[in-house]
Amino acid sequence: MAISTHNQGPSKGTLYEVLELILDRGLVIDAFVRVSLLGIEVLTIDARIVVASIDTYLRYAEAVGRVNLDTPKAGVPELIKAHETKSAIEGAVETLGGQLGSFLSQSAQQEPAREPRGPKEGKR
Amino acid sequence: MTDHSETSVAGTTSVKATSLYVYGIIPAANAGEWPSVAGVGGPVASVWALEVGELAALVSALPPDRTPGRREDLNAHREVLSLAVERGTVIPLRFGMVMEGEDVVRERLLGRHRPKLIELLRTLDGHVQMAVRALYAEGALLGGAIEGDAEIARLSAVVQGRSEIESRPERIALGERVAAAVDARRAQDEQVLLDQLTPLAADLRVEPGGSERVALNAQLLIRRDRRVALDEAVRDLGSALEGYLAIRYIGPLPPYSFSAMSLEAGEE
Repeated sequence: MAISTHNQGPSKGTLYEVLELILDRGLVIDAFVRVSLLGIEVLTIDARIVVASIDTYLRYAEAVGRVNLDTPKAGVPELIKAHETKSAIEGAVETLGGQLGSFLSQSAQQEPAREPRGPKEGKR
Repeated sequence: MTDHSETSVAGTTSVKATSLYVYGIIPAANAGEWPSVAGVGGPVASVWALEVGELAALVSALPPDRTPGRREDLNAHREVLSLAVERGTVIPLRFGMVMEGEDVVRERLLGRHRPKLIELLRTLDGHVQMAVRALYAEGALLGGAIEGDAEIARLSAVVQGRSEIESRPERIALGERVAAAVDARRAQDEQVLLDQLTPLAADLRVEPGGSERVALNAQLLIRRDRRVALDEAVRDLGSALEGYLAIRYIGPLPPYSFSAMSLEAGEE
């Protein structure tokens, strides 16, 4: 069973990841804005615009050559459906597993109870 | 006209008011034991709660000639608000709000906008913001998007082995078709991800991805008592989509995306 992905709680995020929220969201009163943003990280906000252009097309055309066209690739809808089926089967197996099954689902339920502490541990 | 040679609004004459950096607004009920943490300007700039009625502004003193904007200032802003959301409800202000003295904070922020602020605090009460970003694995979007497209396969074969100059029209046609396929695929993936998350959120904002590899960039306003359910849903998505999409899950954040309004400063 997939044990590896079981513990992924949220993280606090890096400064870069929340930068746009800090600089561009939140309550604002224009008359009182006083900022002088220094440093390169701020520039990345303007660098996010992706323009569909001839260059992009040519780049795609180039990239297509490197992809194997015959490999079937499941997208989000298919993957979620597959996962749901898998979880249902796993759930059924656990129910049948009796003692062991109920032990597993109990410890799985206890896990989220500790969640609120999890995110803060990442960074100081 | 009234005599204004002497400023005596509230009895105190602040000749030179201290500039205050303002982080956010919390209910005064939660302001009581606000811990003294370092704010913008380092350990000397201790954060405190300036209370007016049922509202309190989180502020710290800022030297008058100081303009916030350094990396450590951004971090301080983030840390203070992150502490505030840990302790309860907060309306985060955008980075860089500086007001000249306590009276200005009292009158032009807390006083003037009292009804709006109380209403917003009520809306946000018991909620936090969580960010969910989904990023395609290398090649996953392109591979999935062009799969089974006969025209792309045909054009791709035509282009193979021919120089770029020689096959330029075909390359552009191919790339154009691929771009459309990629867009459609991304839109579909985004929608399905949203279908999974939306039922859990009290409110949700989809932000621009910022990169071709971003399938979803969503900010969720979520009730604190529904966090466990959201954590679980995101974890499930993460394992279902492993190898195709990587999920980045960030929070709890102050509700920046749900406080994004502009207030009027009013006359002096």
